[in-house]
Amino acid sequence: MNKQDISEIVKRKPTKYLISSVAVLVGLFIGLLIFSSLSVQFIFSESKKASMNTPNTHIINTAFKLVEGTESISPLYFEDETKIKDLIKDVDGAYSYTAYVIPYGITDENDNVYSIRALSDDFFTSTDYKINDNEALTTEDAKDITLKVPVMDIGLEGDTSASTVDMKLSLTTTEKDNEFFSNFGDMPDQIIVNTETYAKIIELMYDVPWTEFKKDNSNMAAYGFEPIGRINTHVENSSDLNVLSERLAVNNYDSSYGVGDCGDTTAYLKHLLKLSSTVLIVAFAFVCIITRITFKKYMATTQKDIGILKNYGYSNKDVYAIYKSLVTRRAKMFVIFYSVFSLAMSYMVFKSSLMTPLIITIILIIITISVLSLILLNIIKKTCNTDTITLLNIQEAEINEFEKIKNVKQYDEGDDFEGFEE
Amino acid sequence: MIKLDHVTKTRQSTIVLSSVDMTFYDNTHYVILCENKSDKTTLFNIIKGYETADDGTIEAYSQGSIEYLLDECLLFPNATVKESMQIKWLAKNKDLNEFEEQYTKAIKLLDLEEFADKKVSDLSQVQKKCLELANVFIMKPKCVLMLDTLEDLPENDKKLIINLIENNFKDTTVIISSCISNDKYFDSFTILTLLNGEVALHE
Repeated sequence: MNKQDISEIVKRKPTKYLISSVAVLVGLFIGLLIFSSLSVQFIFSESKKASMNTPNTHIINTAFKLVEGTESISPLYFEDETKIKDLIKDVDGAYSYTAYVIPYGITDENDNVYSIRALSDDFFTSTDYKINDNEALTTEDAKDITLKVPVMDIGLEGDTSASTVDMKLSLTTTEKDNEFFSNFGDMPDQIIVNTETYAKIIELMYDVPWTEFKKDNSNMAAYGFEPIGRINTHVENSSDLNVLSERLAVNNYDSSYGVGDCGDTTAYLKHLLKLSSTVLIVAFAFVCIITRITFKKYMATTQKDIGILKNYGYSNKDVYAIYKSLVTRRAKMFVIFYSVFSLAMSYMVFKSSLMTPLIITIILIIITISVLSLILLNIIKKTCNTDTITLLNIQEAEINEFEKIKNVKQYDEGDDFEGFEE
Repeated sequence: MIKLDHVTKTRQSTIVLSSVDMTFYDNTHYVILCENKSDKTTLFNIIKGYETADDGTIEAYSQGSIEYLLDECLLFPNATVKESMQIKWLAKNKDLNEFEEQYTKAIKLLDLEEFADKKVSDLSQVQKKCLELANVFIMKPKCVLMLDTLEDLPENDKKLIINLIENNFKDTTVIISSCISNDKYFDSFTILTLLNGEVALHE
């Protein structure tokens, strides 16, 4: 027989009401804790994952600029590439790239029409993506085509074309909603090439070197069309979206971040976290108070047993150890039970192992049960330190008023009653 | 030996023990006859060391050598007779090495052999008293204080308990408190009285 065995023998059965009310309360709270903790962490991790996987969540689109002093807008030109680069250069992980367009459809040898789109070199140097020269990405079947590039005549009545030049292109199939196509609108027959290929098409169309073409279009549409569809700014850290967007706006660029909601999502998650934490803290305080009151009532029924043990000769420390084992053993059982419960919840409700949230949840469970155990142990300690005569109620009953009056009377009558004081 | 010298105790401005001078000799059995509310509890609490006297001195055995039985049973209802005695034994002994020998002897002497596996809650009142005596017996105390132990027992049981005390606690100082009407049961005891806060030999 050891202290644990003694504790099991001397423990008194608490009333059904007492045990069930505390068990239900603590159980509900821990259930709430597990659900909130796993849910918040699940939502957080999922949205983080979604934000990491969706390129647009890190991109600010700039398609126009405002003409200073007016309410009209102007297209972007090549000088804006440099201006935007300057505006973002101090932000870590930020880079800008241009989405070029040719507003005419260009046919191939089979009269299939293609809308030519291109991404600037900045995109490829800042990412691991690559498009080879004379290669074009398509969402259709892969094939080799001969592009009939129109040779343009620039006249006063507009651009015309009387002849074409062949240019071989190799089409490679890719998915529509990817990092390439997401930079352009939802037009059919779009194919995407690199800057080198785009420059070659422009040179064939207008018989002008690419550098010359850029120079001519530095701040105006010298060839009757706007080659820059938009300039995208990629930020690594979502929190920079607002900062850079505002900076671009101050410089008259009409910008938006497609997933401007990203900032909102973070704010929403923070709000959700704050709300759950507040609810949990209030619920926890409530559980602590109720558990304390209920356990104090239980200890009142155990008070005599503690007195008996002390009268047997057990020290306060021994008695504390006996009752402590009752609490610690159940606390360990609770931790194991609710940890397994969390694991099951994690798999069954969220269909995922969620290792980190699970560990955090289990830590929260351990903290909760430890705090509750400490409250209980403190009550036990106080009871154990109470005098044996108080615990066993073996003080002589208080002297009643009648006896007091009798004593006073004896004193008044001159009885020798040493030490009596009124 | 327990020696009380001018022990005085005052409660709520009333003297409850008035300069008590009394010596309880080793291996002697005493009964203190008293009326209700005569503060025998206070006297026993002071001897046991649970309360302190306001005045006077007490020479007594160490607290651990004095066993204290109350009028109500100090037993755990869920424990069996043997478990009760094991719990009592472990209060002052590190292990149960010598327990079995003492236990066998005690339950034989105190007529508990046939109830050894019974739970305390299933014992009669007199059997519980016997178990309390067995608990005390195995601890080999120098002194046993019994507060109103015989009250509420039928006449035959009172005789049985006194008989068990006389036969099994010969080497122990026993001090029992009892109401005055029980004086006929204590032929072999030194009879004292506690009246008006004073302890005296019964005339």
